[in-house]
Amino acid sequence: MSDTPVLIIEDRADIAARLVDAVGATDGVTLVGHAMTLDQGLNMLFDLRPRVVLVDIGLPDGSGIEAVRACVQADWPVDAMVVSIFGDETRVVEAIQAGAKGYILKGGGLDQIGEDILTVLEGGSPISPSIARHLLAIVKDGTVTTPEASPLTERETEILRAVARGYKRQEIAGQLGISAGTVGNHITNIYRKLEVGTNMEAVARASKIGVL
Amino acid sequence: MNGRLVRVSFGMMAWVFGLAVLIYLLDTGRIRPIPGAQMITELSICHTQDCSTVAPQHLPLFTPMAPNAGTQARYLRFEVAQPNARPNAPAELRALYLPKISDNIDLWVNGQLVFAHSPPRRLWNTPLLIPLPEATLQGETLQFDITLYGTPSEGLELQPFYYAPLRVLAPYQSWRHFWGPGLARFTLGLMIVLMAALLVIWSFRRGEREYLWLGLACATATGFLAHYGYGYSFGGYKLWTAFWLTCVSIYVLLILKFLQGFLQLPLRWPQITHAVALTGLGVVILFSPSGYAFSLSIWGNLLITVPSGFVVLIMLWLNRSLLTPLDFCVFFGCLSTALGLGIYEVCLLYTSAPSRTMHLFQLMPLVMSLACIWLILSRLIHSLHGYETLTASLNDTIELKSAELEESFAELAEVKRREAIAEERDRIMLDLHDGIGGQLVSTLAYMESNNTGDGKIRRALEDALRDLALMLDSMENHDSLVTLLGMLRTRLEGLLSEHGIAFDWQVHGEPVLPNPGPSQSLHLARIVQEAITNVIKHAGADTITIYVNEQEIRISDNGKGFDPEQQATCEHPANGIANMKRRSTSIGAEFNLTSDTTGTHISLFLK
Repeated sequence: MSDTPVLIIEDRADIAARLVDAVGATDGVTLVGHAMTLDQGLNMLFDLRPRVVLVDIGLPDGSGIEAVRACVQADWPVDAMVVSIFGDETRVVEAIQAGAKGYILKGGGLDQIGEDILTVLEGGSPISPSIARHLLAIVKDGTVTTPEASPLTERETEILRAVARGYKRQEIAGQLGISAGTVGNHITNIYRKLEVGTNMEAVARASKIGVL
Repeated sequence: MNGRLVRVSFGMMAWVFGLAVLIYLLDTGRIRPIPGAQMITELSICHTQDCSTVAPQHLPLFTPMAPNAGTQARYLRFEVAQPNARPNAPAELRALYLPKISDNIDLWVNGQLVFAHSPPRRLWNTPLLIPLPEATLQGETLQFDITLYGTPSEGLELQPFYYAPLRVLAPYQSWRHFWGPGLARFTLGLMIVLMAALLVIWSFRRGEREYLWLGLACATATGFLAHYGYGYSFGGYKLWTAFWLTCVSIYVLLILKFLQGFLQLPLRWPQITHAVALTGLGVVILFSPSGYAFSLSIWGNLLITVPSGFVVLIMLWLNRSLLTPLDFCVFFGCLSTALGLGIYEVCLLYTSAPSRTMHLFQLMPLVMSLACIWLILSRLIHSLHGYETLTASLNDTIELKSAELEESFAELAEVKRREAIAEERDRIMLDLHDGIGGQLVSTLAYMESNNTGDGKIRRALEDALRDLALMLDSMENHDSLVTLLGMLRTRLEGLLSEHGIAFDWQVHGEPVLPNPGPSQSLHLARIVQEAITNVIKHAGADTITIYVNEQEIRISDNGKGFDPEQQATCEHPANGIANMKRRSTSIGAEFNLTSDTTGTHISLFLK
């Protein structure tokens, strides 16, 4: 079985180097390209057809969200993950609603980055307490406007609440009597349900909630 | 409904006739003896003007009504003895007082004319006081000759009269004159003033025809009041008689229109019937002989006016709910009194020998106009009251709305303030995030990829990055302390695993700080962070238990513990715990630290 191709779109050379190192240090994934700008990244995305894209949001020629959308609309399976310094919910939620499958921390350890990539590939998505609380607020406020987005199930809400209280995936799995993988799948489903596509207004509104 | 109408109609008739009877029984202006005056009730009636043949005549004298034109006369003579008369001595001025005559007289005393009638003036409603010149009062016997003039159609009338000193008779005459023509003249003046006022009001408020009808009613009333007040006839007997009697009918028609407009009743047939009948009557009178003018006018108007008056009364009764009880009582009382006065007057005018001598019909327009003015004033007062209530209600509404507006302005200002704060916080966070955060991460990445820098610098940078993350988390999660603690856990997880320490995470409730806010949350996060850092550095533990409920946040470890009394020495820095205590005080939490060989427990109790 061949390694999963990964594309990195990051303008800061040091961070990019770190991400490259992390991908290189992780078994099962391989770097196929590194873009410094959004334009270059989009070109490489369609040329190289990677399975995973790690994209920074603040790129010099545009927002990394555009690359996330391009991944959603791509005709081959490709998961986008945003690269964040702190994993702060405002930007990450915006990216998740655009279709990102998760986020990785720039400052995280190399093995942590690799683990997060693999988690996404296995069907789970990383999530922080802050992001979970924010997603709960979005559902409660009814800012999810896509017709296909159904309300979260009771189990999904339960999981989000537990994450928001600081519990880890394994702990939640233990409390609910399910596997950690199932918890990850639930989180991926939640992300999918909260995806608003191109509804920028909803994204903007959702983004505001966290800071108000 | 019909049965009720019949009952109400009979009730009204009984009521009005009852009032007329009451007025009749009051017998106002009854002619009775005056102290100090000689009352003349017996005299002689002459068949010719020279009084060659006489017959005794008892007063009152009436002649039957006859449908003849022109004037008729009666010649009367009587004598008064003056037993104590002293020739050439100054006698007290004497007078003759005739309370009621119809229509006019010539008076001779001892053959000298002292009072002559002056056509067309008729004194049918005027009490006559004739001072007698001293020169005529000579001799022990005074001979008085009276020629009584009048119209055959209304008949002649001479009631008992008085001979006495002028000073004795003058007050009686004044009193009777006041209630008779005096009151009629007063009412006439009042009607003219009211008419002018009402028509002026109407000219400014054309939509409210009630003022017009009432003003015209006042104008019409002047017609018959002039007849009662002055006795002058203009345009000949026939026209004048038809005119003043028709004025009464027109007056009633206008009152009917006023009431209909005022009460906004849809019933129009009474006034149409009234107007048509009146026009017909006018035509009949114009083409009838002069001698029938009085009879036709009085009967015609009677037949038109009395039913209309009753219709007004019945309408008022049936629609009494449209008026306030007081308004109804005043108007109904006045209207029925006016009708009663009318019936009493007809008895006086159209009886050959009426048993009452005082005309009271001049009171009718006074009573009616006062009632109408009362209604208008009452409506004005109600309107003013309504206006005041409305104004008060509007003021209340304005106050309420102002208060609401003020409140919403305050809310708006608060929202704007919060927005401004949030915007500023966003900006600061963005600066921290992209600026310092980005540089710290880049520096760490550089050091890592180039393998430069020593461990101390690297740890310092990592601490700075964690501290920055803690600040950002405090700002973003100040409204949920468990989420903030969860973020703290996420940030420290890697550090803890490096040292082989695991979290035992126990969150049972959401604590709320006494004064929630980002800075308070940051204080709490720093306390917990300090406690965890101390465990990593000093405790030698492998588990940190975080227990949270609504009132308490507890950080425990299973390390070796320390002696809190000696913590200032050796490797436990005093300022770490002192800082935790200081921060606890500032967030309103009670700080509690216990430590023994099984571990250390730090509790924060929220008050």
